[in-house]
Amino acid sequence: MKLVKVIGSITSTIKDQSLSGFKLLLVQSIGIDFTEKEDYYVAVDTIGLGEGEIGIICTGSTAKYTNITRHKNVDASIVAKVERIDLENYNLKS
Amino acid sequence: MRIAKVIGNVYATLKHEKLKGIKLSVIQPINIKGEDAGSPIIVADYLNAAVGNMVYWIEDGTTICKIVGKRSIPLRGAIVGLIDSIDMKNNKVSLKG
Repeated sequence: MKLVKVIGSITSTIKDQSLSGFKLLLVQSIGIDFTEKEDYYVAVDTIGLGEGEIGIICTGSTAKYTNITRHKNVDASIVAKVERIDLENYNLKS
Repeated sequence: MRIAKVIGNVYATLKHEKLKGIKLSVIQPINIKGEDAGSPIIVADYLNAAVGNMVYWIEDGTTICKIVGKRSIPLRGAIVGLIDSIDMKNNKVSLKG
């Protein structure tokens, strides 16, 4: 599971058959203090996120275990929208 | 999935039996500005992407086995889609594939 920020949406006509109908988003990996990292993923949106919002992605074969991505050829899916992170010393709001 | 740009094809006559008939492409991972990021990788290409296309590819072995329809295959990485465009409002960039 990785903390990510949505930075764009992807249009794609030619793709694997099992991916048709999915909303694909370009996400950027971020740190716990929301600093951006040079690490990008294309993830299937399972909950409906917009640009600039913070979410959590699941990578690898476990990305297939959400309801809409079951038996589909994906290896990254957005599984949560982050509203708040409470840490011992400081708390951050998205 | 990750984004990359196709920069070439690989021709191999002597290869593992399970890799026979599979088109191999060389891709270059890119960042959101379209610049190169990291070193090139060889992946399988089932969609016949041309050199210069922007694509997204998977790196998960289990998923690749499912695409190929084999229980196991010595392959890590497969192109699963060609990108037409990426719209980024906040970054004020729009990449065209």
